[in-house]
Amino acid sequence: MSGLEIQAVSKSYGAVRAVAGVDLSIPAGQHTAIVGASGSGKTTLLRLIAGFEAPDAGRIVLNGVVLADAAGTMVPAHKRRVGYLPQDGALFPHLSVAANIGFGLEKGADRASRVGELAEMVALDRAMLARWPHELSGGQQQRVALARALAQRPKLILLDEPFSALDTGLRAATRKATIALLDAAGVTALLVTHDQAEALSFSEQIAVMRDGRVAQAGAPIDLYLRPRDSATATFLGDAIILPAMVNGGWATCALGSLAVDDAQRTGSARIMLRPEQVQIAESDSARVAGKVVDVEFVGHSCVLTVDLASSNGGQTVQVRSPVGPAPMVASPVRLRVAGPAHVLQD
Amino acid sequence: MLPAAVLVSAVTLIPIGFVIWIAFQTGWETSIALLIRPRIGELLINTVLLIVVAVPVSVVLGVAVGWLTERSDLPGRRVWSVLGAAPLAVPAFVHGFAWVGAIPSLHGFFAGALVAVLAYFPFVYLPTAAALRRLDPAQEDVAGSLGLTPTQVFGRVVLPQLRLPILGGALLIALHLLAEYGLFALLRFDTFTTAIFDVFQSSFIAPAANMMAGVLVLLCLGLLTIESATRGNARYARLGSGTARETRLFRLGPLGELAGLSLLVVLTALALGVPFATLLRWTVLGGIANWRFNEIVPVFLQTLGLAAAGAILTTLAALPVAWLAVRGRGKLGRVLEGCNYITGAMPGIVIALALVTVTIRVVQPLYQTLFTVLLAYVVLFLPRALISLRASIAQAPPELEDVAQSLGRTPTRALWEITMRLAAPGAAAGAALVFLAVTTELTATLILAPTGTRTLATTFWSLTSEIDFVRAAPYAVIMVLLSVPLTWVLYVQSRRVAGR
Repeated sequence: MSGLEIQAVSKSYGAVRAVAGVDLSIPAGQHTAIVGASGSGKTTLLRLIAGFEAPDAGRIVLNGVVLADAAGTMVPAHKRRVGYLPQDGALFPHLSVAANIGFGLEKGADRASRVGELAEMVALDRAMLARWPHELSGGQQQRVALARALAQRPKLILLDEPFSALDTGLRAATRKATIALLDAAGVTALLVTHDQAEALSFSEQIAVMRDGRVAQAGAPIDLYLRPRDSATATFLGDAIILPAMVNGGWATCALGSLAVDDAQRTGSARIMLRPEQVQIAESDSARVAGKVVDVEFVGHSCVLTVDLASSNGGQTVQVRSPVGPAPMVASPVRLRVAGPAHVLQD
Repeated sequence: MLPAAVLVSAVTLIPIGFVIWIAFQTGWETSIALLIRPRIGELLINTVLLIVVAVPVSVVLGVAVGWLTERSDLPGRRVWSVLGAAPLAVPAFVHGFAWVGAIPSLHGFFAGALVAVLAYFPFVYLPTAAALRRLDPAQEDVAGSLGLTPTQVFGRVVLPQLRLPILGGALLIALHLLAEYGLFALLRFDTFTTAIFDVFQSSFIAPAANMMAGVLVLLCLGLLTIESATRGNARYARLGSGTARETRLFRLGPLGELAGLSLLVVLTALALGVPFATLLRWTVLGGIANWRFNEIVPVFLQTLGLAAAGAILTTLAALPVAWLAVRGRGKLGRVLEGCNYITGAMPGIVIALALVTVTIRVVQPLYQTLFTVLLAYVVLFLPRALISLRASIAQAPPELEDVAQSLGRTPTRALWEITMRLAAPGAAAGAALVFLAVTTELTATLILAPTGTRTLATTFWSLTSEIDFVRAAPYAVIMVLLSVPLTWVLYVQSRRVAGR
């Protein structure tokens, strides 16, 4: 099949197994994000795909061509046509912007015009081409790096936390522009990041890495709402995780009786709700009662810590309440739960 | 890269290997007979006494000049700070020549120690001044707010943080004292180096010279051990972020100003005035006719040729070692780098003796060839090339090579086009340091150079030995002029470390 296929790939440094049997496939032209805490092996995986390191075991296949396998095939990095965009862009400081963009192009008559095209593509003013990398802003540097990577029309482009050096506002804008460009170029893309919001918004597929393994991979919305375990659940966002008794599609927990997304499961389990599923109820008809123990104002909303009455104290949940007259500490509140809770595997 | 680095390091280990081999070859009884002699004891006392006296005096002078030019409101601090580094532009044996020229009867221990201090104290002054400039004045403010008097602040906050530059400078001076030949030969003060040279001249490769070389090596290793043991693991980095404030200058007051200025005036008169006055005197005495360009020009060109070849070879040899030290994983890189620094501490006489022995015994055709003398330069000056090369390779991020590979460059081409291109300024600076070091190198060149080789230093030396000071003066002047850029580079570098 076309696209990137990673099969049972492992890589150790001494006694440390940085990547321990990763399987992942990215259909051609699609985007995938790998998220994980630092040390989870995501950068090593990227370097294996780029060809900077050789895997100890497993196979890496790109568009039907074996790049590396256990039989000793190892296509060197410079023959893979895999674009690479490292963290801070890594522009060559001794070359002008034009020479940076044209670095991977054959020397020839059409090189200058191609560099101009690429600059236009990443919305870089042509006047910038004569400048030096240190004269550019962070966002501009990142766009030059992207143009440079796209110059040789790569079959796959690897992005190693390319937006993390940018400040918050610029980061979102650069990310959107990059996604649009990658879509326009129709290039398969793999993004490595530790920022879950970035991963969720970047791609058709995300893979959560932990201890050198892919803990779970799938569509962003699936992973967000139906994570396999509590570690993945909390990694992808704030989560309310409660012990519960599950039976026939219903769970009994500190928030009362809730519908769950798993009709087969019975017995004790842990269930997960995203904070936006729990709201302060205006009417008294909501069944779950509790007492506010802490109010934290965070700008766009208030985070209330509510001690649930039914739990005999001790079980608290965090609830977001819109800015406005928030309930005071120690005042009683009622809660409403929207949508089914998710049953965790662990 | 790895095999090249191992090869270079193996070659630089020849001197140490030579000493060990000599010890085995000579056998215990002969060794002991050669070592337990009044002559050895006398040399040992001379050498140790020289270190024990000259090093502390240099440290006190260096710290005093550093403090006066960096932290006090002494008039003309900027000028004094340049003058403090300037004695380095005069090679030590030219210092000796100047003093003997000024006071012909000057000789012995105190003369040797005095001139050595004047020639070498900038080795402590430069790093100390750099460290003083880097210190965060907020620390001193805090110490003051905790009730310490300014003197206590200096003793308990400033001085402890100067430990590393002082130790480094002291080590450098001690190693120079062990290695220097010309200065002490002129002042007729016997150290191991001058004694080895005398034995070598009278009886070529004699076991006696080899044994003394062994003792010299042990002294060097001892110094390195003492330095690394006292340095410890302490790190005196500024904690916290933000830029340090401008330093507040200490107000000396009229008395302090007088004392400070007198010290600097006397020091400058002795360390710069005497050499310049003597050189000027001889130059004027000789007049224009003394500049025999038909003699000087060939010597000058030959020196430049040797220096250029030495600089290029040394830089090329340093390349794999520096690259491995920066990029290599694990211990090997560090071990190889360490080997080179140990060899860098070895006196030129030991390296020369080792290469003579190896070429005579093993590869006879190479004895007294250009190859051997260039090899000696590589071994002697590798650390100088290594330091700047290493720093500039470390500044080129490895991601750049990765990106170049992902854009279709082979690993070798990526290394050359990116990392080596970025390291080029550092390599050039290192090569310049080696170049200038070769132009004033005396000991190894005297012993190893092919017959008929005449460099500025060796020609100067042979004329001095014939007491033809007038004819020697032009060569000394040229060497000083050549050394000025090197001194300037060192001065500017020590200021750049301070981030200004």
